[in-house]
Amino acid sequence: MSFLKKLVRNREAGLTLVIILLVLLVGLRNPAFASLSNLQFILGDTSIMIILALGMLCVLLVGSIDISISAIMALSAMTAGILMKNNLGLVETTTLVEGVETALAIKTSTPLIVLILLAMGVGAACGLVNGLLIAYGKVLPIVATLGLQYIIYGLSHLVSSGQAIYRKDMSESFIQFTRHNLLGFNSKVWIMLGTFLLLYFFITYLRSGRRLYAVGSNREAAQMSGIDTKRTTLMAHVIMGALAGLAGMLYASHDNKVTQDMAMGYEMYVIAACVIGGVSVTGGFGKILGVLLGALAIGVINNGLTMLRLTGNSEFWKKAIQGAVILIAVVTNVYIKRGHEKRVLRERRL
Amino acid sequence: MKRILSLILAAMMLLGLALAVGAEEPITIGVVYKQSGNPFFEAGVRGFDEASKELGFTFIHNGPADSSNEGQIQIIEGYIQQEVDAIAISANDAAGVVSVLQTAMDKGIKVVSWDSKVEAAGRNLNVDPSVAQNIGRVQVEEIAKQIGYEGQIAILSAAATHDNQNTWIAYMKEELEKPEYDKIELVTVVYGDDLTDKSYQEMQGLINSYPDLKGVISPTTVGVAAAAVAIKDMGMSGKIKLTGLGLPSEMADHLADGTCEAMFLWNPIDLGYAAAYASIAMVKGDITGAVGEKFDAGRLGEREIMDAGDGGTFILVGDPFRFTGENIDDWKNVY
Repeated sequence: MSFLKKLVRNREAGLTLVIILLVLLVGLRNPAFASLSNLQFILGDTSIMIILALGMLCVLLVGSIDISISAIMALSAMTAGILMKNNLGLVETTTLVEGVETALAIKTSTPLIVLILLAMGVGAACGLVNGLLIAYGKVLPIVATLGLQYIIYGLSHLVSSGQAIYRKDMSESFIQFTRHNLLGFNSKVWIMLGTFLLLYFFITYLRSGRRLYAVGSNREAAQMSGIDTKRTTLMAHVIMGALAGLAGMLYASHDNKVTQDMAMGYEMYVIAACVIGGVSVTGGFGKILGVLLGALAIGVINNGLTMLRLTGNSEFWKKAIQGAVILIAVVTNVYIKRGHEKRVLRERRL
Repeated sequence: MKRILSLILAAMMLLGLALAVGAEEPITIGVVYKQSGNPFFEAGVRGFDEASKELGFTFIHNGPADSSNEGQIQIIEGYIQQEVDAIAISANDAAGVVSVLQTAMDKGIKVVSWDSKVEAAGRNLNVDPSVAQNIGRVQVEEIAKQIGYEGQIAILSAAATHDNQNTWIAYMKEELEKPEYDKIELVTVVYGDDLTDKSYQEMQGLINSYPDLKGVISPTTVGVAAAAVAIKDMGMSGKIKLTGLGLPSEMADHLADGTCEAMFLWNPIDLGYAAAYASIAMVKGDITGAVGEKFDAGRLGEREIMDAGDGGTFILVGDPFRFTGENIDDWKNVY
């Protein structure tokens, strides 16, 4: 087998190569792009997208889709944000400034962990409604989550009563949530890695995780073998919802702001990341590492186009190039899958 | 019995008719802004709300989620269908909405642009927050003072189609021609599309691409706030100076800790309030939008219509206010 063929077969290696090539190409034109600090920034910036893409992987595997995730991010961050704003207070402490003890007032509020759990709970509840509609109500996934998207954005408007949450309404611990660094990596990266490992373990070694693949690749067969396909679909949507809640908090902390229409349109990046990563949108097919790389590829393209300054306003270029990358990824998917099926048939001597 | 019943019914119908004729239908203003969920326009709507309580009109308000021209056209078409009496718009594209607004004016709807104007052919009157030249000038003066009249600066704008942004930037460039700014170099203008994420990325890109950057002007509320966060995150507070047009509530912490020493804004509540009074005066026929006409703008006092120099007319609301760490506490809970 030629090297090229191997590369096409091993999608993850191919994607990694593409990402490295992109970094080198853009880096040649603007060396600042390939600097360590910028690459660390891209990884941190993409972490939120990766967390969402991991949830989307579960949903896509069972043959469903969720386009309400940006709305879920807004609602969960807004709910937690309002609680934080209402409980905001000042605590006087002292800190050492150049060896002198100086009085300092720090903004405090509800403990960060409570806020995060609340946001994830709100997200999981939204996911539950999505899952119930799709698994038990038999509504087409794209229709159900489209409808929910509007309803959830509406709810977020209601919860916010038209007001936004700004930095002044945020506790210090929430502002710093996405600004801690450990071993050179941002806290967003560590949270993403944790989520990645947890989900990797779940879908690789746990029975309920393996069922995601079973349900998506052949629903009837899965049902016959005693798998509760409805419950599996429901579970996938709840995982997605909870992760969207977590991502919403990271997004809000990073932006120093929660608006009622926060993250609008973000779901498209997430779905694109999955598709580029080789996840089948019809279910049953897709690797977790591929999703990670797919999201990274989008992150690199986004940041690269900002740094390249192709035109005064590169947003249109960005969209066009993203579109082209997605199309190439989908076509590659189809060919790889077809080749794979042929090979399987040949091996069975049919 | 039947006759009595029918008599009562007939009497009730007559009464209803009389009531319907007697009650004058209230004036309705359709408000269009650049972007829904944008706090600047939420404050603008509060101005309309205040005026509606004083003048007794009703208003509906909407803006596209993506600050697009197409979204605004759809909203305007909806308002035409609903037969509003006036449309008050802050346009995403000064030329893009002209034809649909002409359709509205043909149907007798008065068109007032506010905050960001519509081209003269598509409006009856423009309500300008402040003289555009002043807005451009004060921001250049501020950044020049902060960086000591020497070094590279950049502009982080909203979108290349926003008329108000382009006008201010043009005046900024004109101001920079003056000899006292000889040692200041404007390296680039970048656009964040009034999206926090994109503006943040653009600011991050500026810091990485121009290591000698001394200052940034961001004449947009979304941009200046995102820029402040990016500057702080990259540890450049104090090293890269920042000014622009920002919302006090959003910029409060950045002004208090000095990441942004000073920024400007007019009062969006006053802007919406003045646009409401102008719309009502126009619907009632008190003014037509011609140069020299005067009308009462409530608590703002009398306003005179002036020649805008673009073939149309305008009124002024006020001058931009300078917010600093010292005065921000008075304003951060207002808007």
